[in-house]
Amino acid sequence: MDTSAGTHFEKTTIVPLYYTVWNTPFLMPPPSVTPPLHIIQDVTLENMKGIISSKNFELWKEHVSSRDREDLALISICLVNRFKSREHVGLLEQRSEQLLHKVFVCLRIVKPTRSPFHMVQFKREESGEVDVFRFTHPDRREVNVPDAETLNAITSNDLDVLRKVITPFLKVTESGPDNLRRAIRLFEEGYSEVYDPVLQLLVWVMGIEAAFVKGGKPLPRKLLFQAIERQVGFNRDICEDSGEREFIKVPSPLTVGDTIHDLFNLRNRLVHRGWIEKDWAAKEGRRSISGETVPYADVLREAASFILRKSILSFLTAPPQ
Amino acid sequence: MNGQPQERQPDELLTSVSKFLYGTVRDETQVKLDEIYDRFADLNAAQVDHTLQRLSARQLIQVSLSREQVQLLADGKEAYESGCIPELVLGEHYISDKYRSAVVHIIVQTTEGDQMGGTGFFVDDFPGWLVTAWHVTSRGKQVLRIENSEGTILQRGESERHGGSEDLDLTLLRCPKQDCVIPLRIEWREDMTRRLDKVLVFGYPPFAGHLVDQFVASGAISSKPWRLGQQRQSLIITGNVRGGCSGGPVVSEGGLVVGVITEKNILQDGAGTIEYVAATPSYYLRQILPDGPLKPEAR
Repeated sequence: MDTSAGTHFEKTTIVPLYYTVWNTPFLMPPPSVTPPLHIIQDVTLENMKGIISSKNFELWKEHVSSRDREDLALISICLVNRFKSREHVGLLEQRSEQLLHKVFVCLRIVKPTRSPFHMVQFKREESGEVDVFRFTHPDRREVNVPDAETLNAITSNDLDVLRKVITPFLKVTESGPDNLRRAIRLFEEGYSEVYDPVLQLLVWVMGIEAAFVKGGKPLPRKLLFQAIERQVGFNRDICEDSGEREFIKVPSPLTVGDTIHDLFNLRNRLVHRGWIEKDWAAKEGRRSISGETVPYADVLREAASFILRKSILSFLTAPPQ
Repeated sequence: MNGQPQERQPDELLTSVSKFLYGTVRDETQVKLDEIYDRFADLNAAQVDHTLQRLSARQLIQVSLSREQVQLLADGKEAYESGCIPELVLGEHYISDKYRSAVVHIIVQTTEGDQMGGTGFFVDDFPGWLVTAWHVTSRGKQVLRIENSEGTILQRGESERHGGSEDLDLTLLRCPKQDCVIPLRIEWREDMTRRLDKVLVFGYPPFAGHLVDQFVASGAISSKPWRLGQQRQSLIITGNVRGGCSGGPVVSEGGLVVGVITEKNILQDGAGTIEYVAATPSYYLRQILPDGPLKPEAR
């Protein structure tokens, strides 16, 4: 069925990534490979610096503050999708936005950063000028990530992983299995919709349980832990992807196996109107890059996110038999 | 050109003027009135004035007479990009007339041999297909014929169907479209409807003792609840609407299809009776697209 009859406008959707090695050289030296980099068909990572100015958002001055309009124009490294479409917005614009949103979510599963999702759509006039016709405006500049993820930046290695998993990821988002789709949604909502760390932990544990649902029912705790051990591995360091790994001082590496029992116990206490165990207040989780103590309960939040995203990744790369 | 100013239809004028204002990149968000008159020098100036007044009345631009300029607005840009300006400005009668021929009557026969009617409509994203509610042609029903608003038969007998289920009351039905028909356009974006938004409902409900004729009524979106047992939202529309429009489009003030009618119902309590219709939001049509469904995430 032809849904693109009469196309004649060159349009582009961009999703800025604020934390990559290419636009945060203070976090990590930029690698030898530089954008544009291919992700999948029709999606690239490109440096779009200077393409858009705050003037492109001037029409929205009653809705978006001057400061925010300037911020919107401060883009450099972006996910990019180019497409042809008719004059007015419709299905193709919506598809392009959704495609990049999915790639963005998949990238967050590969490595979470503080980037919120927002997108800008524009068309280019024959003169080469850019006409912004649609954008979403993030309600906050940064998402609330666990401490170990605060210095995360996307690297070319992360893009390699993204390329490997994006095709199965898109298939899952389109046709399931439903439990894995739910796990993905809960993972992303924990970052994009939830700001409270307690609720983030709960949402991510819900995601873990959803990922391992079997026959429409959640696995009993013992079987769930066995499945996580098989799928993710209990010896995995929960900070292995952290942008500050070499600076994190931990008595000994905290692994999935070290934290998973406490994580589920904490989850049970929280949902049954309990609170963090008193003993844990004295228990040092680890030291952050700034030298402060990261409370043990917050380390468990890191574990929740880590276990959930590694579970999703493992299902994408090697579905259980 | 013979020097006589041209007369153009109001919708053509609105389209041309709004394209000039919003369809080109500008350094400023103000446009001098002289620039507009120069651009439309072949037209009667009074017509241009009237067009600007209409756009201003709908708050799609602001006209500053003292500064002799037009201030462009975000709402105007949004409406232009959505291709909605004539519909927003010229209103319900314009929408009803423009899209009348896009809404058709589907006559089916049930397994018991009874004849029933439903509604379908042409949309520009699926040339050669109608959108309707899945239940109009499902559960063993046979399509007998599809008629346009003038009673002309467009299709006789069964036609190819695509998509839909008990859980998703939407389907596509193959049907040839006459060239003169202006198809409706779908609002693909979620969250573009709000409670109390005015809508038009099209259909072919039966009126006892009368021949079938196209029915158009105005209503408002009163609620957007989640359906029990299903992971989907509905639009609840109240007002001057009635049942029997199954499969018919719910059209926004901008002329975009925001829903497809699924059922009528009656809310009764001590305070009285309200008849309402439930509609499936049109963006769920993404789930039955044949070339790569884009499903909203499961809830």
